[in-house]
Amino acid sequence: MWETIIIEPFINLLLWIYNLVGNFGIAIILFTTLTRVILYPLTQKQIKSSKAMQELQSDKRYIEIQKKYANDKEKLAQEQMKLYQELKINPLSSCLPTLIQFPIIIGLYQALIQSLASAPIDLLNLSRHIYPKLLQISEILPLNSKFLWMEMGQPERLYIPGTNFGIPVLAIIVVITTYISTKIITPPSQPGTNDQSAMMTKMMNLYMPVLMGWLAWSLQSGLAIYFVTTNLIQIAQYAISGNVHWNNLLFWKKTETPVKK
Amino acid sequence: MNMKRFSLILVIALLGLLLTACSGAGATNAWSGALISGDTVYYAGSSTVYALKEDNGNIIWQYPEKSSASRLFFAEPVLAGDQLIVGDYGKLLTSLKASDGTENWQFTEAKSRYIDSPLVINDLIIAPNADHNIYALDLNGKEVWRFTGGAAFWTKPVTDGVMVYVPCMDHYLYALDSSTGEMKWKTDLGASLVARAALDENGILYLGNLDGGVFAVNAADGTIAWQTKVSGGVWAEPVLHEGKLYFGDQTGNINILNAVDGTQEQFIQTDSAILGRGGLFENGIIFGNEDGELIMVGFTGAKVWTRTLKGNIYGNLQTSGERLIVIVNNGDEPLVAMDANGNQNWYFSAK
Repeated sequence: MWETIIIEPFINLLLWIYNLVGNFGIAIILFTTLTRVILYPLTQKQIKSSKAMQELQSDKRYIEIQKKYANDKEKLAQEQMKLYQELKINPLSSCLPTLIQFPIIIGLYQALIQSLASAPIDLLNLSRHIYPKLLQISEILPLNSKFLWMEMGQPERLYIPGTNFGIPVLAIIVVITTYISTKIITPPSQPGTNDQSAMMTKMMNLYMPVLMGWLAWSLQSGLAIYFVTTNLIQIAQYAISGNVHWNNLLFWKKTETPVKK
Repeated sequence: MNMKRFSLILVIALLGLLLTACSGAGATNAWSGALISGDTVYYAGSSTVYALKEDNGNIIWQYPEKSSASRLFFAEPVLAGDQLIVGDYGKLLTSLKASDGTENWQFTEAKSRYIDSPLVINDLIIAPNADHNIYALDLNGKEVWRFTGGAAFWTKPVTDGVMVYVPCMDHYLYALDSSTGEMKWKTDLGASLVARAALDENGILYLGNLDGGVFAVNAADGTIAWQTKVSGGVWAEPVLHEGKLYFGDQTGNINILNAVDGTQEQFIQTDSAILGRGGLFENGIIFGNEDGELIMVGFTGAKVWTRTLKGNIYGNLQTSGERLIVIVNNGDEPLVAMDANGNQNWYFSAK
């Protein structure tokens, strides 16, 4: 079911693009861009909802409720709900688009891996997923999986001539772009907001780039290309929506959002 | 470390594991190979290479001492005198002492996986690698020549003693001088080649491609003597017997072709893909399919017997005398030893 509805269409679309451009690295970039563009309405909805939630946190009434019912969680939840209804905010609407996107992103990821087919059973599975009316195995294989200095089916390393030492350039780019993309979409912390949640966000901003960098370092470079493209598109989409907090990148500069009266 | 921080790290670590699992890294995405030589079965059993007693499956030795997730052995081991040569998915070609499994040397120049076995000819080890190269080494592991093709080499070469013939994923069958690596000819066979070629005494090479094309190629000049098509992709070389070619395909057919002109004499349907080479015995040829079925086909084209093992049979069937070795993926018994009548004698499992 999952394979038929998600994986197979993605594999065929990815390979169809590859058939047009003749390079798997470029095909991954175009495919990722296309899917992110298709998902843009959902992303935009998510950005709007997040913004509304963010504005709510600087609302005077919201802060007062937090202070007033700090020791009564049940009452706090009731009062928050009243405020949501009054301001017509649905707290779930910021995470719903993410939940819808999640299986698509996982499917995209699996389609990439299966298309690389760097071992016999992967190749066998790939040959079974191809729509014969759309693609011919004799035309697709072998995949031109070389992109710049990288072999898409192998972890990326840039070797210094004359040495056996390889620099994981792409993994470093993944760490940097993940750090930037998570940092600039995070709203600045505000006085009076929950310290623990601010700390969690701060830790997430540190650990996520490390995790993504580790994946890029150890897995196929095709995936690292996917990570980098996704990060850059995410930055662009937030920038278009005017929701980028560039100041967050200036770690020496502490920013605070004014409280709404 | 407080509880919240610990939970966050745990969630991120689990996410990493999930993504790694989704990528298939670490999963068995190939099938193992084995070699029967005298009273020993050499088995490339994923993370470990085993030497087993041919009569009962007891371990004689195993290599390496500590297995590694990045160094997986799938290609059939080959013998070069008293050396056992094994290629792995960690880019290494290793020579072991066949008697006790101690390491002689390692060739570390390849940039990708050894999917299939090397060929040993005239004190040369000719190893195909997925990095688009064929490496020729002497018996001390020193590189003699290398040849670069247009794509990955997933297939063991075949030789007439002078030339080596290597199918490649770039659709070409290459003929190389075994002593220098110089290319004599190459022939486009229309689709990627993952099946080994079979060479007969008249200098004709027989092989199929992933699109179901089957070809007879003159080894002397690379011209195509005949070509035909079967219903599915061909993953293994045909077994040649009395002027006929016997081979399976991805749709599960066992094809019997006339070797002279390629006409299809018969095909026998099974229920799932046949990717490995058949095992030749006196009274027929045995094929294994993805559903775990073993089917013996007599030389008249009739089914002699069928047996079912739990798991998938993908790899080449190995035979020696009355012994049949079957490698089973995703089953409890990864290596099964049988006789020519399909009776199980023993099995080997590392567990």
